[in-house]
Amino acid sequence: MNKISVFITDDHSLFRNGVITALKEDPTFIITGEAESVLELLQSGMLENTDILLLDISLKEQSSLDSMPEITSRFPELKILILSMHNKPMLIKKAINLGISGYILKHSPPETLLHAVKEVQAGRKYLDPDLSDSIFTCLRNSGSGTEADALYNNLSAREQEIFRMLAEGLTPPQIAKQLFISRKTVDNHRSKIMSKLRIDSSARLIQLAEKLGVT
Amino acid sequence: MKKIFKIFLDNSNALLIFITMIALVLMINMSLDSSRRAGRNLINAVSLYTDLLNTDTTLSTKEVKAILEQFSGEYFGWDNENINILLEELNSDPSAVESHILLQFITGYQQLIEERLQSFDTLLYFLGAGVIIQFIFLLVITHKAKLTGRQLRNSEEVLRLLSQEREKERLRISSFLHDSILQDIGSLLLTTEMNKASIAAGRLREISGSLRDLTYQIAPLQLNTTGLRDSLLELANDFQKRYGLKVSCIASGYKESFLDNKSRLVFYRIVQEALNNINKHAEAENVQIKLVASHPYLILRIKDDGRGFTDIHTSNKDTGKHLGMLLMNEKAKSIGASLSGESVPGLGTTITLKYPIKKRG
Repeated sequence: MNKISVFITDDHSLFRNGVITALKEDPTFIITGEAESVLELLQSGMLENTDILLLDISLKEQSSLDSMPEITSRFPELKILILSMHNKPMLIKKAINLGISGYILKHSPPETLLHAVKEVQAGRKYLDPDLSDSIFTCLRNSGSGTEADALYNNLSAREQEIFRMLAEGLTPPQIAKQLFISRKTVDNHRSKIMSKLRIDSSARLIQLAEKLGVT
Repeated sequence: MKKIFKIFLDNSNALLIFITMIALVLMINMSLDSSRRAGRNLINAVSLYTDLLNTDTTLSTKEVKAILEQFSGEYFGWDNENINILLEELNSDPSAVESHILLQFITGYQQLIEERLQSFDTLLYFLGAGVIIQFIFLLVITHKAKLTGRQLRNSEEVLRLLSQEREKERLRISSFLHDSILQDIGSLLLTTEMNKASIAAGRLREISGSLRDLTYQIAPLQLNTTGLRDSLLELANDFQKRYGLKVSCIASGYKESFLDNKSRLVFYRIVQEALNNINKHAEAENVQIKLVASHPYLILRIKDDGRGFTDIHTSNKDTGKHLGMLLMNEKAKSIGASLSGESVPGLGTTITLKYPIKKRG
């Protein structure tokens, strides 16, 4: 049976020792090293020989997620399993987007930890079962981003500004005067805004501005 | 009456100005009074003299005397003796009497003009004194206002610092709970001994779960990593789960780079505070959180459909009636944003935070 090499990064030594003890009980695992910070981790020179990186998110004052792009680009083969106290779904979402392979909570029993490492090593993704409830809620509610939001994201800063002014009831000449631009420019912006937001009347524009919270 | 007295007592400056004004008016009146009297006498004298000239010469000495007596007085200086002499002269040489009277008029005019000049001098003097007094009062008032302004700014500053310190303190407590106690519990749960004692492990897991919830409530440790948009979405979900309020959250055109860590926390805290207020007082069913970039501003709106209230604009600092609103306002000010509230009884409340994005370098 192939051995699984694991590297642990956590700023809490007691916890690190706990993980090492738990892993050592199973002969499948080899510990390649431990570190307290991302810097120490990168300087250890042990990651080339490591299959799984057990990584905490909060490391002293730093968030290890900030260093994730560097780690993954330097060691593309490395599989990262987050071992964290945080259970906020959005944080987990961010970690997933950064390319992690698994996420487990620190209060999980040793079996969960060992199981997670094996799953990840087998090429599967692993999420702590205790997270399913909050992730479920989060996914159910995060779909509320409407088409209007997506369209609004395409507006430039100037277009946002003119959109607001129009919604506030200013006429194109008034806007031109306030922004020190020509009437023609305002009209151009206005038609661009209308087409980007897929609306065809001032009434719809006012409605949309209120819906988005602009006015 | 008591009320008026109280107004004066409350505003000693107003009282001082009031007294000065009254004194000034009295003085001006006094100085004008003598010149007025002179003027009146002169008019009388002129009209009597005209009468005298128009009357026929058959006037008796007694009648002439009566008329001449009218000329006696402060500005003409004729006493009875003068009048008697004049009457005697009248019998012998009427034209001499006439020249006497004319002379007397000229003297009267002269005196009047001198009197007028004098009154104007006095008037100018009093006016000058009044202006100086007013000026001094103005200086005192401005100085006082400046001091009050400084005190006010100082107290605002203190409030801001306290609020900042409070945030730091919360972050320390939260970090301590998260980084020490929770980690200790976590490592304890990894030991085989603990794992065998499954009831104790289960209990410990529960404790660790509630402690973790507590840390997030004390300070949003995840905020800067997750970003404001997603943290607000989570906050909305938490509120919905905990209190049964339907909370939606949309963000349009928003980029995390619009905010630094400090202002991000202020945004988060304002939403948290607003949601708490809504939950406690508004009796609302739906809440909408809207975060939208509208160059050059980032606008945050928290809108509920609760019962609303009538006196949102009268944030009463003394009674702490709208302490929540006041604190939110202070937080907004600390990052250069403006906070406003709009409420319609029966239709709900909207809190708006307007943050100038470009202001930061």
